Amino acid sequence: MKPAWDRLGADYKDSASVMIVDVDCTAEGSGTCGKVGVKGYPTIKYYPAGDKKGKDYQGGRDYDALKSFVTKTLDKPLCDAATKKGCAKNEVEFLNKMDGKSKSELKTELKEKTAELNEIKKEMKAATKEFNAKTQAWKKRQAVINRANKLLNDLIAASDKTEL
Amino acid sequence: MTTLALVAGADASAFVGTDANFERDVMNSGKHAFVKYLAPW
Repeated sequence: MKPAWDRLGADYKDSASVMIVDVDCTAEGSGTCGKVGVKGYPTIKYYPAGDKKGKDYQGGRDYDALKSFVTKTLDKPLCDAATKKGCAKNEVEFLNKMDGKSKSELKTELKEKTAELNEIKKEMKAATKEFNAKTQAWKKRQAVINRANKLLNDLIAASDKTEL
Repeated sequence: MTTLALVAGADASAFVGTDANFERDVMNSGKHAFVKYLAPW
């Protein structure tokens, strides 16, 4: 598969809309592979622009199959803010809202959105920290209860023997 | 971005994604991405 993939990479090396990417799960990409949940090698996924979840690629792995998939599914024009060409419905709606705004107003909008994004990141970080702390406490409690149950079962078994 | 790819995989034509650059250079590139997660062995 490597030659086919490399050839594909060469085809799209200078593409303005498509990236062909290798992630080495045994080296500098191990954390990324872990986050994505890679279980076998190679695993191929595709991510339409802005879609961080991605989808599994299930097609053939020869050059023709890979190329055909990229051509049909991914090699589409990206959203052009000026002409609205290639934009999704929600992107067009957003661009329509921005119509008629001055450069200064657009900059203010950008500043506000960036601040909103940073706030979300901050909240996510705090929520993740809290969740991780709770998970640790739950795990600890589970271990204690499991141990208590084991001891209780041992006591019950011992008393069964005594009764005999 | 190209420099990183060249450094990380001199003979590869695909962009080399790492933990350090994946979010910034792939997910936030504004491009569609076709990603192969691999083990070289």
